[in-house]
Amino acid sequence: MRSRWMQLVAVLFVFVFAAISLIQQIALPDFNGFTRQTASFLNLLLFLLPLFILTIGSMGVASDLESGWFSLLKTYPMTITQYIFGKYIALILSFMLILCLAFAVVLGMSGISGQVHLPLLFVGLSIMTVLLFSSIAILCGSFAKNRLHALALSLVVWAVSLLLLSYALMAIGTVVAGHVLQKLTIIMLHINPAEWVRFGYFLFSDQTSVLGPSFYSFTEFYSSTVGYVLYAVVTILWIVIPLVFAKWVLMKRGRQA
Amino acid sequence: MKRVLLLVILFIAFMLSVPQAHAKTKTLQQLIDETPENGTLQLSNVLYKENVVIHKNITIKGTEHTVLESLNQKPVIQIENAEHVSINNVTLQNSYLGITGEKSQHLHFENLHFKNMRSGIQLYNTNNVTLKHLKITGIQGHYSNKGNGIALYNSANVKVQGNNIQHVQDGVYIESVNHISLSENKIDNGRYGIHFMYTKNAQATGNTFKKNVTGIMLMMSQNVKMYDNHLYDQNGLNASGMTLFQSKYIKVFANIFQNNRTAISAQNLTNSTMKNNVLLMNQSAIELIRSNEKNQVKRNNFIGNIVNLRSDGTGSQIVQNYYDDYAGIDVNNDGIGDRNYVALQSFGQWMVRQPAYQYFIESPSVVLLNEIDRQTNIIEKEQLVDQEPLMQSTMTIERKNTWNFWKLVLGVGLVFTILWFWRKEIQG
Repeated sequence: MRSRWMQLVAVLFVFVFAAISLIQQIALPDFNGFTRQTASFLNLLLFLLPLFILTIGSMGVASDLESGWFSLLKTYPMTITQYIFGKYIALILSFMLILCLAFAVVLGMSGISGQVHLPLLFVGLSIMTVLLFSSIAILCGSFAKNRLHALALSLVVWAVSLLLLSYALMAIGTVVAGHVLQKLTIIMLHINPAEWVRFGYFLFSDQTSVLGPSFYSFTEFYSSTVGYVLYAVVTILWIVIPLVFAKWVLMKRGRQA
Repeated sequence: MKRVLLLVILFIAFMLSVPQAHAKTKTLQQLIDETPENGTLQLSNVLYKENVVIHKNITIKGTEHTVLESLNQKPVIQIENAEHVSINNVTLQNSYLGITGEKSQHLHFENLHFKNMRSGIQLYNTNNVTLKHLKITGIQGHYSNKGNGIALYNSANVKVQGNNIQHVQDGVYIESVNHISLSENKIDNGRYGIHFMYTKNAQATGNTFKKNVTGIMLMMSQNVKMYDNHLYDQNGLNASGMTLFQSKYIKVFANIFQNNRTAISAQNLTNSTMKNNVLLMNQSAIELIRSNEKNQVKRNNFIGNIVNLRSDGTGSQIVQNYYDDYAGIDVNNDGIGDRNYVALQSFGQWMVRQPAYQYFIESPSVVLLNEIDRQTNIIEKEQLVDQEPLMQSTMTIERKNTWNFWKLVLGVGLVFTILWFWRKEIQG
């Protein structure tokens, strides 16, 4: 939180979040459903939050490794698991504070105009995005040799999960049959945290029909109780696996050093 | 003894207050048969459980609690070869089929209430029909197990006005009907609100369609006008406000399409016009498939839609529409933008050709792709191009400006608390 970068990120995120809320909701009537407003909110969430979390989170870990702070910490009675968990919690709390600030500004604005409001689902999805990407950010940081490397690595992860995987799939879709594209898309959304969060929006807002008839059976399954449980399990795995992997990487690096 | 007497009096009073308890000396069929030709039959608060057949000119008037029920799958009222039949103020309930009419003329049904019916009214080979202020509520379950609210076959000169129809398969099913007018009807939670098949010279005005699979389904029809209708929340799988299929001389004027999966899906349409409509916050506003140059999309307002126009590459005239995402300017101030509006989006075209692409709709990657398209498609001259985009919408969105003191206080309080905490953390 003392980092200048973190403070700039907070200002930028709050400004963009509040501006989009205000502009979209004043321009269009309030209506339930998947509209351009909700799509803008969702995309803002998916574009900005992962970018900030990945870069700041990974550089935080890389900085510890690069500066020797991590080696110093190892001399204290603290395990690598405790270090990773501490980093993860700190990152989550920092971004929760930024989110709270953005939500508070939107709440204040809704008091003035009456038009602006924040759907509760977006609050939940924002928290989920922070939980998922903080874990991946720690992993990126543990891989990196230095801060610049961490920055590059997190940008690659961000671009792949937000853009490149989708473009690759769209390109494949031009040469394969529809049912193959459908199956590949289902695989992709499980292995891509950004798509997982996006799918979560459709699932929990009861808007799965937006995804089209090709995904009817798939969305029907996830709309059931078993589907919700599976969604929770996959989400937890997306948090736990990168952290466990980060621990393994740091242990390996510790042995090599 | 007094208590027993009191109980007997209460029992008699209760029995008298229940309409079913009215002593029926004659069946409804006997009453109809006894009514003279062109006569009026006045019914009181009675429940009739039977099927009746009408062959004569008659007016039947019920009261608030005149209730008719069928004991089998035959229609409650069957009209055959009659010249003038009028039925008013009757409730038909818990039956398979309400009223059928065949080879009859001058049928007038008004203020009828159909409750928990599989089908409401079916008319075959009828002429000069008026269906007014009917309330039809279907049975629960899937559409495939339900009948239509009103079904009209091979008929002419029909007026369907001010009806409220819900939970049926098709609100109004129209097949091979000439000259039909549908106005001020409210149809919701069905498969199709109005389903036109092989219809000529029809008009639908001032109707409201909500939460159907498709508001208006028009197939193989000609010379149909649809204006001032409000179609909203048709947003299930494969849903649309209107689907216009293989028809010609269709006019879609001044309708409001709001929050539909696809507002208008025009497939194989010719010589048709979509004009002065408001297309507001739909997933796809207008979809043109196998269209031709004689179709016009003119002076419509495209506001807040995710995809404004999409096509399979076939052409249509797209002129003088307002698009809220138009980025051009109007230097000569004539109300028309100085450069073309190109609605062509790679993703929109892919979605038409391969439905599985719909998964990516308005995803971050597609938003970026659309921005790139917007820059590269400026040179497009043919497909989905409006050469005279309007600068101003003809529509205004009403807003209520209500301010909430406590929300403002809470919001500002939270902002200052968070900033104070942050500052304390930095200083610490």
